[in-house]
Amino acid sequence: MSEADPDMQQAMHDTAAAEADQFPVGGEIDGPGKQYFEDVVIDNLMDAFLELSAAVWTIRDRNIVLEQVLSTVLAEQGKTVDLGAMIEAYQPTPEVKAARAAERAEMVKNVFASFSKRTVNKTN
Amino acid sequence: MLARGHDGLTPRTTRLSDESYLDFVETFRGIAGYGSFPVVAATGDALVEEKLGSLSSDLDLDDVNEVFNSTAIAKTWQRIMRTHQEMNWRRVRDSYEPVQDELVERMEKAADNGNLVIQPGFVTPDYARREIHLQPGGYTEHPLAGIIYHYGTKVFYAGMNDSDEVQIEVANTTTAPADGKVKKVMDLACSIGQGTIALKQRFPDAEVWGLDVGEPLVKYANLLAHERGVDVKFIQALSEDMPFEDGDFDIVSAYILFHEVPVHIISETVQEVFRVLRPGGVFSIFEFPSATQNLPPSQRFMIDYDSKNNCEPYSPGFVYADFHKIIKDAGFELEQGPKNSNPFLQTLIATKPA
Repeated sequence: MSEADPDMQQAMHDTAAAEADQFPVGGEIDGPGKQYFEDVVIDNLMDAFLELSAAVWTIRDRNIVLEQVLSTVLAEQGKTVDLGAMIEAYQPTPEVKAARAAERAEMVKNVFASFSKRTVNKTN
Repeated sequence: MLARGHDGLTPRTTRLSDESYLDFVETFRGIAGYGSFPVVAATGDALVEEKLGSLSSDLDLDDVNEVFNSTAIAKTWQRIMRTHQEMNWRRVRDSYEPVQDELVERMEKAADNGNLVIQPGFVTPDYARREIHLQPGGYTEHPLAGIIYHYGTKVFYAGMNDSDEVQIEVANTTTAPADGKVKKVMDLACSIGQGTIALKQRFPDAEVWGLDVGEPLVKYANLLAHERGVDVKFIQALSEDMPFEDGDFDIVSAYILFHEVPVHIISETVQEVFRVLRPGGVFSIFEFPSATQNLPPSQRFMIDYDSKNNCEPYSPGFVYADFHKIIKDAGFELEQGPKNSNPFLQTLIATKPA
């Protein structure tokens, strides 16, 4: 490889230093976080909204799995089972996986419909 | 690999609640994230035309961003893009960290197979120490970077790469030299070795190497290959300074490497690949598109957002560089590569003259 001249090397060093300041290791998801709205409360509300949505799905998804597992248990009639372990170990069939994905997509579409449905005027 | 088994070839998270949460993030990303961008783009482009008088790519990027950022819809889009990405990485990391000791021990034991080379005294260059896509610790600083990358990118690929489908397609469309001789193959910037394994399956008689800057990535890659019984070699090294002889390889393949390094590293890497390929050897490139035509303001806004908010510090440099000229200047003969099912990618075949 050819050697860069000293000015070029200094420029590269300066660029790298500037990048390191802008993108420090440990500064992304563990940093103070980005702000996009003038009022950071709106950013916080949006974060909470997404976390809440994820939590709702997580519970709903567990219920779906639980129903599948219970169905299995009932089918076996009278056997002693560790339901919690069964839920954790459950491997969905491709059909169940597809059904869960479809339900999930439907929920996301419903919760976030306004972002793609409403006409946005130019002052928004 | 872990108690809850695999989804395809991808190790499942340690808890169902993590899997459900990340399924949500995956679906949200497609529908509410990328799905809502056309509204942002239409609104912003119309406003740019009204306020700045054109949609030209000559407009100052700061002016374009100022117009976009005057709209609540653009702020909202940026918020949800950033937040869902943070949610992804935080939950993936939190799922695997409780089993870190077990995973590290497995990687260390797998390294006894003699197929992993960690160069003594290797120094990770500063440019590579970035939390690309917000991955905590990036590719070099977290001991579980490999498995974190594996599941994090499962979310990016929206379940379409659970069994390495993307890397298998890349390997199967990697171009072999015209004389058909393939003794040694390099998967450049191999990350967790999905493509390296696929290349070995494509060229079973060849010696196949995966090279990456990230030590935790190549250690995890070696674990995957070891557990799958695939005989490939991995090395932690720099794409721009490979510890191989001149003309050592028949094929070098690179999948989405170049937009993740500074422009001067792009040039140095292309020159280095030219060196390690034998005459008639082929460099197969699968990469982000280059900006070969004027981009609308919304596209420039999105690229800039991604660079600054999704830790893609080098992506704009690549997009606006003359990548094809860099390849030709290194001495390669350049032609269009085979089509890929991901139409976003550009594929190139760079041949070292025989």
